Amino acid sequence: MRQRNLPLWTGVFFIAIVAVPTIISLFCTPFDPVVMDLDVRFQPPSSSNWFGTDQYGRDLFSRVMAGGQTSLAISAAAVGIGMAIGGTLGGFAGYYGKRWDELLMRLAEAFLAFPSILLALLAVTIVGPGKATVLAAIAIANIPVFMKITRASFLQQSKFEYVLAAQALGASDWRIMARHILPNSLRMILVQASASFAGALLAEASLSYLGLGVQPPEPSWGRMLREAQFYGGRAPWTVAFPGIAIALVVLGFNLVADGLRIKGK
Amino acid sequence: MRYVTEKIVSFAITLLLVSTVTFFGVNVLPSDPAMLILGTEGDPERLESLRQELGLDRHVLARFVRWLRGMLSGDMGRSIRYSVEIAPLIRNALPVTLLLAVSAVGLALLISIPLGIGCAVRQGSFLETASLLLSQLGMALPSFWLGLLLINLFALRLGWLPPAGFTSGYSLILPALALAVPRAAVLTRIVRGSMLDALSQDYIRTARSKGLPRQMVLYKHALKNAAVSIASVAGVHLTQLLGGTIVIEQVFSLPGLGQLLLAAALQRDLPLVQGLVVTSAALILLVNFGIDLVLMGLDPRLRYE
Repeated sequence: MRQRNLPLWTGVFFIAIVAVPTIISLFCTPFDPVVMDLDVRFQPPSSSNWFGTDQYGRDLFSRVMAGGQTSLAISAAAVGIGMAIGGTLGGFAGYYGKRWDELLMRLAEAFLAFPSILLALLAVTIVGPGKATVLAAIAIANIPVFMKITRASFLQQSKFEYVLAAQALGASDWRIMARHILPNSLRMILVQASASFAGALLAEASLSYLGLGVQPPEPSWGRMLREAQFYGGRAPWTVAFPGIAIALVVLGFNLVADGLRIKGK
Repeated sequence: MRYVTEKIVSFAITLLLVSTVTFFGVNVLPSDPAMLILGTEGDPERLESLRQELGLDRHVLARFVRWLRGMLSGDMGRSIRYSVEIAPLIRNALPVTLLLAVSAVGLALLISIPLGIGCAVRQGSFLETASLLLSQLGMALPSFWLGLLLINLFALRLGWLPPAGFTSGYSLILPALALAVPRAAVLTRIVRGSMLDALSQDYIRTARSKGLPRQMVLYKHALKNAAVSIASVAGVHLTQLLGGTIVIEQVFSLPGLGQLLLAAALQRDLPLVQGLVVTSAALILLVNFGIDLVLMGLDPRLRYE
């Protein structure tokens, strides 16, 4: 019997509302997102400029579309890297246990207690602001998160009989981890990946808002909000739309995480 | 007693670890800190004088020991950009951040505890559905965007509250609200979950069947047991906020630790960055310790572990 998973599909829908225009923007946008035209500054939303224009007369709809490219790409890359490194370390810790496990988990705990924005600012101090800095900081912050979740799942799975059976058959540790345990742990890891993506997007937007991430004129949602801040009273749409885009994606990924979790039960 | 000693030792070790990582991160990773500070356009004389000021002619380990000694006696060195002692800079900024973080978490608890209890007591009601939907939405709103919207509405349009700066307690209302909403969203779910958990326990049935008034069962028995998980999650939010008010401080131009750190990081004021990161870490560790004590107060079982 198949039941519709409402949170999952609502989440996918919200993500698609933003992701599809973002993908289209790779090929074309209604207007050029970076070319300025001071004659049409602060136009309210209309039939030609759906989201209005900003302080330089740039079409906001095109900018929101294109801004998704960097925001989504950085979040995806950061979560991917965090998942790959954290998942591998956590997998080993959970499967082999003992001293490795103890040491890695202590490190992870210490790391998690530390707000990741401090880490990002430390990185900015050393290598300066930019996309790579932001990506690295978010990725590093995600490593201990995936370490913990993968470790817990691998530890639990490695006690099951199917693992003992595989060991008895003489399967190598690698094979057991990759072919037997990983598929069973995958759902938990995906739930975390979805939740982490929402967090990463918020982090990227915050850091760009602070001027630490994407540099102008390249559009990014956080950066657009920073610029819009000074004109919010005059042109509230410049504040509204980039924020709505962020909120929709974050909401979407949180819902997907919830949906995957329900399905897992 | 043993617990306290253990805690103090682990506190010292963690702080030493953070200090070490921070110091070597900014002093060893870049090949020349003076060059990092001035950038490539710094002229040779200024570069030389800055090297003198930072004591770069000495070995990095010697500098580290000297810096640690200074920190222990409360001397954090001098800021390069502001040319003043770092300790007073931090002392002035600290209360703003502390007050903001505490009021944000307080506000979040004030919103989420009644809502969460309401949801748990009236399962399947309109209140529950609405709260859960709203909390899903609240979790998705970026704090700084919410801050911008609040400024727009309450400061620019209605003129009720100041849009920026720190002049009086009123200045903290909007920033605290912006920080509190996403946290209240998370906490409402925690309160609901832990209340449902507590209400399904045997002792609740016992309490009910012996005829205790509903309110008493709810608040004295259930809430007291749910309080442990609520307090620990609230504690995590508080520690995250101690380092994480940076963005909101920027939105509302509040002169807190975050503003100081952001400026220091962008201007590469290395001594100031070091001092701020270590101060934040110490604060976080202290708050964690405080939360442990609160949790032990709430749950006697934890005292014997």
